[in-house]
Amino acid sequence: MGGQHRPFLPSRLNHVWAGGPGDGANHRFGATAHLFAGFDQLVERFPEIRAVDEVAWQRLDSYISQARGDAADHIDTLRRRLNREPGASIRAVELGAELLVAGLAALGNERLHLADVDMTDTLTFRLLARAAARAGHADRVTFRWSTTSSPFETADDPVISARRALQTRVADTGLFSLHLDPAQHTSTTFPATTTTYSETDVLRSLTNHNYDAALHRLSDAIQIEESRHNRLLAMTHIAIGNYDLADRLLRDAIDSQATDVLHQAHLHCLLGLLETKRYGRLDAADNTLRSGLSLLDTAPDDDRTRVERSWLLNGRALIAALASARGTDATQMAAAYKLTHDALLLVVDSEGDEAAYLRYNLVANLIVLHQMRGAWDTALETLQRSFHNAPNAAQDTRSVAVFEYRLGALALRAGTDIWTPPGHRLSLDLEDWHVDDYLTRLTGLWHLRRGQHTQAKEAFAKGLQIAEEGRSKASLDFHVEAMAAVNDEPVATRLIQQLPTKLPTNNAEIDFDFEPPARVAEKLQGRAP
Amino acid sequence: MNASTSTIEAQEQEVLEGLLAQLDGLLANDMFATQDGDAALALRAINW
Repeated sequence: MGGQHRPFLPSRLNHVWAGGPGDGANHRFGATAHLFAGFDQLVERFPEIRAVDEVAWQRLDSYISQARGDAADHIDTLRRRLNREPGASIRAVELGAELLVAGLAALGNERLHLADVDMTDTLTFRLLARAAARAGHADRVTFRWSTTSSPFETADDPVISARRALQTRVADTGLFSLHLDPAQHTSTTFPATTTTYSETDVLRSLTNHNYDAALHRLSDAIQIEESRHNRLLAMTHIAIGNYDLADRLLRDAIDSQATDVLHQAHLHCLLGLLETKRYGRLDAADNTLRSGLSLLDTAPDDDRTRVERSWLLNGRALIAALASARGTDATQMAAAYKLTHDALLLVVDSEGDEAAYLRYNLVANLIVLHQMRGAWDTALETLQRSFHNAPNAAQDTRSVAVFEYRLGALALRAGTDIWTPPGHRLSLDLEDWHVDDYLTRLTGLWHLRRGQHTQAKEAFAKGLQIAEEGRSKASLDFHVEAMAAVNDEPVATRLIQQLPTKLPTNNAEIDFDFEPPARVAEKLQGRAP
Repeated sequence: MNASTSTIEAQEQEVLEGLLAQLDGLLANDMFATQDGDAALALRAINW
């Protein structure tokens, strides 16, 4: 079946990315451009494409408005995480790419020349890259990109370097043939625009995966206090893979801030996470987190302090869990449970969203510990007890899908029948093929485990269709292998064991973000060293 | 597996079971009474 599918690279490399030779000093980037400014301009040039599917374009409008309006969220989860999950901006990238290609094709525009793509904002840049990928599905539209300089050049400037790294990841998809020739300004050009610089602007850029804009804004944002400035800069560099620089910036932030103990403790927590998750330096990370905890000994015993202390203990629990996964110390699993228990106890009665969010995170981590022990029934029961009211209360199809997936994946591993596939009730209604893909994987494997081979094949065939439309090699690889597993018990068992128990959030094939070499979830499950 | 390894593992199992019982008690606490705001928070929670 898989052999009948079209190759994922276009039959001919008809997307040309042409860059001028450049002089190294004249890079022009649209790092400060208003979010999706370039896309707005493109749509203005082809207003009739909206008429092809006006309803879908209105949904796209809402994603873009949401992205533009999303500042740091009210509980500032950005403070607690190293990686950026896709939000409205990335959903707009994917839907915008689909609608752009469909609209142009419907209007008979088979070739489009985009001049000065360096000048547009990074979200438009990603959207155009996804449009090129999607256009390849049926060779519907050929894109020619022109840049103001060579996509191959390196740069010392961190803003330019960040954009170059994104360009390289896009080029690595193989969707483009790259040429160096003088740019031809015959079509849409993208102007640079200015913006304001504040901490909120930087946070908004980070939330929207707009990293070069965040770096640009930080280079001018002199109003932000030094320690906070360094923290934001560190978070941005973590997102683009500059870990050594981020490490140094966090240490500078700690050194430059001695009065706000809670902020100091938080910086220790972030540094400990970086050491744990990106370097695997467990002993050093544990020392960092212990130092953070010591700082809190002088802080008042209130809810804010308890939340901060609990996050530090949660970080130490992760270290113990990773040590347990390495299998060198039989006492580490109990230590991980004890630290998570102590962290939970600190915030069990605390008021406020920060504490509530942390409680749910801690329980999600408890579920991971249960999984690591192979206690699938306990993991399932814990999920049901703590999260079962949430999806319905949220009344949001996407949230329901996230919960359904988690419940189903744990039930599959536990070997129970308390979950049944949602089928068409959820799939393909989300305008998010990544979620549909994983629900389809789960559905197919669920049927496979029950010996329902026909239904399993139907699910994997649907998965192949999703992979084709989303132009996802990773998805194609899975569903091709799964189709073969229908008659191969050992492969089926392996696929069930390898199925992520939580819906993967990031998808590098859509967001083109930097991917860490190994996710910590893989290490905890013993699937990565 | 030698005798001392076996002893350590048995002790760890005992510790673990005690912790699991305590955690069970903690989760029985009504800390997850779902309010409108909590639902969104819960679904955004991530594990490590």
